[in-house]
Amino acid sequence: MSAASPAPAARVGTRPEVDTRSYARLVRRETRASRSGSAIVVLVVLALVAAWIGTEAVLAALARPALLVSPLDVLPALETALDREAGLVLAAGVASAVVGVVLLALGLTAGHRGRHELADERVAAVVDDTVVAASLARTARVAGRLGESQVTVWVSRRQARVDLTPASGVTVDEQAVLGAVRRELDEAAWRPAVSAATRVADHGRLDA
Amino acid sequence: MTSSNRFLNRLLLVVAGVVALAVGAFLVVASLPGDGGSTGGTVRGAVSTASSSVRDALAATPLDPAGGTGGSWLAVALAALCLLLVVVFVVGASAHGGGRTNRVLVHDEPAGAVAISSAFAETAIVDALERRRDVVSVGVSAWTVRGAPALKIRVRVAAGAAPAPVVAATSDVVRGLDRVLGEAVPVLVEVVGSSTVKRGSDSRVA
Repeated sequence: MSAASPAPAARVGTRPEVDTRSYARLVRRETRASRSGSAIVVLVVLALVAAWIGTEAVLAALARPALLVSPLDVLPALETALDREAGLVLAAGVASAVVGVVLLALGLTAGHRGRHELADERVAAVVDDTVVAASLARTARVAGRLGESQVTVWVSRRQARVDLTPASGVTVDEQAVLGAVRRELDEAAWRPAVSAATRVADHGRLDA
Repeated sequence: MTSSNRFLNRLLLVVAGVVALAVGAFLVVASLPGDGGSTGGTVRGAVSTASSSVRDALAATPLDPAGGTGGSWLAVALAALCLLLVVVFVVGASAHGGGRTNRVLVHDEPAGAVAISSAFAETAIVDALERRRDVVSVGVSAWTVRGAPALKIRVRVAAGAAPAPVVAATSDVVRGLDRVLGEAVPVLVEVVGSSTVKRGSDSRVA
């Protein structure tokens, strides 16, 4: 028992290296929408439509009356509608085009999920923007000696905006707040980098 | 970290969007007022041409050549196509998600394979991190990423806590786990905040 075999001891002693090449992909997948929800909705709708058309086609093949409209009568029905109810066809066309534009936008936009990557040597880390904002708000409160309701922070992809509401008759040390917020942002390596801006409200508040 | 194919998701959305946009544009153009020479009139002429050719095709393809009851076999072909499409769509919709695993490491030794359960890594990481005051809760799950196991650590931090020290501490814990396992597993740390309905939310009382 006392003479431990050297192999495991050597393995425990060494620093195992992680393959960080896959991290870029991991982080990309965690910071962007997968679009799985939209894709599932589209697939379910398409499956329902295909099931309905299939049912109608079977009824038409058996020369039975259609449930709503036989798929074989679609073009004659469209012809009639264009003659008598052109406005209805126009509305249907506009609705379809709007759905198409929404689907195209979902398919082509990046779908950022409001997260920032934090550089680290060992792990891939993503942080919710709300966490960054809450942390900056606390820093701003401490630096400016402000109350909880006097500081509001918005964090977007490249900018953090700190809104300060002074108490009536008391000036806010904007530079101290800005410096503290900048220091905190610089301490961590955010990707994409976040710049800070402060804004003091024109009117103070009594209850602040 | 699910294994859903995101490119296919986006491809499906783009194709469906283009088709819906094309159908919409066609209907809008067809409903434009005007006579035979105008764009709307031309499209309407094309619709009636297509309509009559469909009628001819249906008449030329009876299901029962003897002239009995029943419609065209084109309708049967359409039904078969729709059945195939329903199967494809349902399979496509159910293929999402997945990729969870319960093994964090599988090591093949001459005497046999050694598998380390993800519950081991989970207990170790949660125990090490939950003592911190700025951490509200920790969740660990193992996923298969490109054929190899990877860990996802979801850390819920207290309101106003700085995320960088939490990530650094998690990194240290993972390094410790590396030494115990003898192998480095890819790890993703996800730092999330506390919502108002969960523990550790930003209280109105400071």
